[in-house]
Amino acid sequence: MATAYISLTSGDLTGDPLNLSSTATLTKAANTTPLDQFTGVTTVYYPTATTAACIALADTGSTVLGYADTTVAHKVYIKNASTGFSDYVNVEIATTTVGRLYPGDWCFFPWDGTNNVDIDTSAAAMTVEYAVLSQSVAT
Amino acid sequence: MPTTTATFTLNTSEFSGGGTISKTTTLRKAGSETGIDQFTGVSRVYQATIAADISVVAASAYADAQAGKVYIKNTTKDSTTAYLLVEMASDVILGRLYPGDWLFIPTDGTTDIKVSTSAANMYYEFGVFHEGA
Repeated sequence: MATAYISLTSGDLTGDPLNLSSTATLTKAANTTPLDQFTGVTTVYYPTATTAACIALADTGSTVLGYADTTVAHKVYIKNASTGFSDYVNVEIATTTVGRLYPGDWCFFPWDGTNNVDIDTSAAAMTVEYAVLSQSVAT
Repeated sequence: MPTTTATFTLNTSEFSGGGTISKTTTLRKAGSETGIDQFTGVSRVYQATIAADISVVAASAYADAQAGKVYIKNTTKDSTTAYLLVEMASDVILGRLYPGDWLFIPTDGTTDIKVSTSAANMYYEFGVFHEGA
């Protein structure tokens, strides 16, 4: 069964060392059945600054690209694989900003399939990788 | 400046072409080599009754254009159905965290982040790495 692990560590951010870790087993919504779809990890090079590039399409009417919605436990991974320190990826849900991924930053979050996940790239010549794990049918 | 790292490991070996990827990032201030220097700590919350729109990040408390990060986990036990609904701004749904699920997302200080509990007797935890007001 697919798993997602996070470790947050710091020796000097807090008075005592920070050492948090957690592993999630990626199951369908409200049961213990594994998620059954995976896009693979996609790497995209954007030669120019880009607005609203779709990462995950909320379109139940499409049998090709759409995802089941609402009672689902889809997961989305996005990483800014660019180098340097200044060029960021703006992550959006629908048209609402989630936040910025600077070079090397990654995010991993649940997605219920009701709003598109989009990104904007702040500069030319940026590389982004992403993946979606999903369930084929809503629970 | 502090050095804080966030490591992500995704194991998808059950899928054709899947495998394990592992990525580590150092949490830095926006557009800078300087490390993030503020952290709320990890708060643990028990929610006795179903509740909507519980604030996790109030955008007004932070400067804009930040490289903050938010961690949230649904730590409810003995349930597979009790989920945290994660919402941005005015009820823009991101997704559902079922028991054991966690998220790690950026926050730029312009969007409120809220959670709603779907059942009574739920536990969750959260923490925010940020650059201040």
